[in-house]
Amino acid sequence: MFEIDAHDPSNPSPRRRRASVLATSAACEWRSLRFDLGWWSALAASALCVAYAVSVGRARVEQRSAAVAQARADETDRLARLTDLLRKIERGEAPAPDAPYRDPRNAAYVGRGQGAAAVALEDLPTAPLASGLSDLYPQVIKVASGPKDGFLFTDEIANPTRLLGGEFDFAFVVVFLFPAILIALGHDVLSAEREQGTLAMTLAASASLTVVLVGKLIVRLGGVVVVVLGTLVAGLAASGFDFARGTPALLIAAAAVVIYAAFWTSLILLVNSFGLSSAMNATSLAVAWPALILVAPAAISAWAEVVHPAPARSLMILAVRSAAVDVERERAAAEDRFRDEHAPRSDSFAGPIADARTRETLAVTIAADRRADEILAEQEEQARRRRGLAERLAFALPPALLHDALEEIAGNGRTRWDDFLERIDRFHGEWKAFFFEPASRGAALTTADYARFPRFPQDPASARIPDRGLLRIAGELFAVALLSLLCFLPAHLRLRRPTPG
Amino acid sequence: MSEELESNARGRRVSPALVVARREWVELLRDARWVALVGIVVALIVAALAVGIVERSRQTRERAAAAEGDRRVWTAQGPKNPHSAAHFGQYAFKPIGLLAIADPGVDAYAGSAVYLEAHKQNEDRFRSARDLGSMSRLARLSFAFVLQIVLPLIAVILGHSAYSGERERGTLPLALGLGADPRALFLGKALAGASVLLGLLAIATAVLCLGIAIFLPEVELEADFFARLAGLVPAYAIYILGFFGLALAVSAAARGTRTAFVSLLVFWMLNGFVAPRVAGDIASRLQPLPTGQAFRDGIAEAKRAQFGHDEKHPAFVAFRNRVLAEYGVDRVEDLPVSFRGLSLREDDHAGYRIFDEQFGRLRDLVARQDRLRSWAGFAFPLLALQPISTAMAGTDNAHHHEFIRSAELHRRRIQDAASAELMEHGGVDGRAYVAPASLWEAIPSFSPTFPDARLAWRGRSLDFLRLGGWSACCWLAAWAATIRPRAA
Repeated sequence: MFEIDAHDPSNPSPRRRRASVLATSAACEWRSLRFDLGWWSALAASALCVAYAVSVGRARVEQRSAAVAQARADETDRLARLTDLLRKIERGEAPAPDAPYRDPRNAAYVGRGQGAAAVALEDLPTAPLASGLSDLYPQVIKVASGPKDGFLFTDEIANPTRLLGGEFDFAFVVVFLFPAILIALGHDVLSAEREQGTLAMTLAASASLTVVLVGKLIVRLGGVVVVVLGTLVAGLAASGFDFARGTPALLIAAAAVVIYAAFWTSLILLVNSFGLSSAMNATSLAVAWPALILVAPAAISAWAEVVHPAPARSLMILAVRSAAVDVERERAAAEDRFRDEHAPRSDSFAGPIADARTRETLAVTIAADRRADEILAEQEEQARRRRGLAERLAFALPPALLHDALEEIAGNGRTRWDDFLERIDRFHGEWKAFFFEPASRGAALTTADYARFPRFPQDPASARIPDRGLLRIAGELFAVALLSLLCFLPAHLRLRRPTPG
Repeated sequence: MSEELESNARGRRVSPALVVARREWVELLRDARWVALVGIVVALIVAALAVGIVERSRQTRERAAAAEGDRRVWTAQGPKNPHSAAHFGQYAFKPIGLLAIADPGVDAYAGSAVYLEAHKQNEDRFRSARDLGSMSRLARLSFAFVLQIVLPLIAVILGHSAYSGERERGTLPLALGLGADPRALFLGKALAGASVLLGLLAIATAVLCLGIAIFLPEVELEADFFARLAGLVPAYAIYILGFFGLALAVSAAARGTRTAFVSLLVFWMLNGFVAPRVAGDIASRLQPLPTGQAFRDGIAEAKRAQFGHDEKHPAFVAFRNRVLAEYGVDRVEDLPVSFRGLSLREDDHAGYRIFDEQFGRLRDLVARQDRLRSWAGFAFPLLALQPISTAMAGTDNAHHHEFIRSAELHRRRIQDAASAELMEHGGVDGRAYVAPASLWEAIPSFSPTFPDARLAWRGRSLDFLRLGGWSACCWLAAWAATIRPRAA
């Protein structure tokens, strides 16, 4: 089949000879596969899975956009109503509300709830690729001047069963199903030749067996890669993908898929190099699949869970509540707050907008906020240690690395969310400063103040994968490539001395 | 094989099926790979149990400490107006069932605490899944994971070559040619494989019970635990045996071992990974849930009809007039009870109806999604098994909703107690009234009681029917395929 004469003067270099063998092998494989119904079925199944995954991802992004739009409309509506009332009060057209929490001039209460800013993490064009953390965090975070636990841990409405089951997104297709298809198509790349009796003929040629097998696999498995990526691009284009903004991330996603395919291809070659039967190859790879994709990540995750338990969020609740009680007890603020909320306007509330009672309420908020900040910082550190351990242990697990990389590429990974939460933290500080200062002075908010309410900064850098995320993706893809090489090298060495069977 | 089978059957009066089974067992025992595989599965079971026990103990400890702390904070309020205390509220922490060790279910994806405060029913908060990291979304080590995903794979590996392998080696046509009874062959192979798989399930159950007895000595294994186990273990047995039946059927019908193996693996993957996701997606498209904003807007809209603390609200004026008429007086000052307390109670009760309706609608939508999701359990048994497993473990949506319901009932007890105190002692206005600190001691904290096994069993018959139906179909197919197995 591969009759290339090494002494032929027309065959000048080993490199060219290898290229020629590769091309011949690929051409032979194509001639055999183009009538193979199984291969075409696998390609069709891959295309179907990717197309469905893109549609699921698209639906998620649209749903999220609708939720963000609803929250923004609510914010606009709230602020419009407050501004309108304030304008009327300023002009003397309307009486001031009889309760401070309804008073648009009261900085302590407006900042704490009525004026809360709706903040959302903008979806990247590649967001349909992976749901990542987007279904675990609220679609919109309403930043207010109260303690952070009040808005950071408000969950989005979702069916927990659905969250448990996970989403049929592109990341799932690539990490879970794609290797299974590669295994199904490639597990007998060498053993079938041995079983059909054609291996001896191949070995009789002077061509390198590795090159021959790689040529076969390029067609057999490369076809799946091409279909997966082609369907992805077509699916995204059909759903209005912003190529101007999203192409770089899409190219990284394509590179990730190719590198992941290289890993499984190398593993398939390695298993084949042991000279076992096709059935044994299939069994070995069928055991490797769940071991790498399910059992090892589950074991790593469990180990991290045991070594660094999840932070006890209940501690934060208690700390915040204790702080409130402490301040209330010290300053008898509880009763005052109650009066503020329930009593009609009294003389003490008639002068400056925030009387002593509002300031005391403010003191409770500030104390609780400080306590919440301290505990949250400790808990985030604890959560980081836990994630750090899991990530270090997963550095030899291509499925976990690729899953994480695709989440990062989709903009729903840990680094982008961490970055967003840090920005929220800074914005929360700005928000508090804006409202606490007039509240503590007893000053009234004016319509001019409303126009100056802090706005969540639309950092252009937040509309792309953060640099830390890019570094992380690069590290993960490099690790997968290295692991591919670690599988390929022993396979190549073993294939240099194959047994004809 | 046939001679051995016949002589054994005649000489020792042993059933031919038992002879076949014994031969299969011996082959398995001699195969070091099988011994290693079984060892790995047992190790996974033990590891899953260890993780389950550690996690449950930690969470139980944390929530008990949090409940104690919340009680301290609640009773430390000092003299205060009762309604002010109701605004301060309490926290309800979700109890964890014993069998959460086996199947953590939706617990990590549902909130673990609810803030109980005046005037509003809050949504549950603090999903622990946020802290788990993205790797746990790939898979989470638990008993349920081993039994739902790993054991079916073992069943596939065990059964895929039962007939096709013998056919390829030439032993099957030989045995049949020598007059071996296909029924005996089938029963023997079924017995051998089923005993291995049921043995693994028995080990898992024993490890679970022993683990609880040894590492959780404070827990008493009561009738409720066994009532739940009585649903859990048979469901898993039906599921795993169904997979083995399917493997035998495919092995007998397929052209070769490779075809049988690939077909079974495809089904295993569809069942374990594809079907739950697709079914979840379809269910959420057919019965979409509102967004958080829309849900809260719905409540706010409904509550606009209520007066809250707005004494100029038409509903407030109407209520005041009604009360005055009922008591036959002209001024609230002449009422024998505090009008403030009465109005708060009236407003709270109107709110209860709104929350019951809105949260009830949300709960119904989630239940409908879950029912839709499990419909495909006839074809993909994991979709029928998961609702049974999580229900028996007390980690399904129904148990979560029961927690939400009981927390809300407790919130209402606090509100009613605060309003009653105001009505009795609040005087005309009620705002100036300061209740003694002893009142907070008298109002209990949320004491969670874990629902009994009746909740777990309620509505599970259809899931059992789907699971049992699928398993029975697999065994019927296996019987049909093996009675006249392909000779080549």
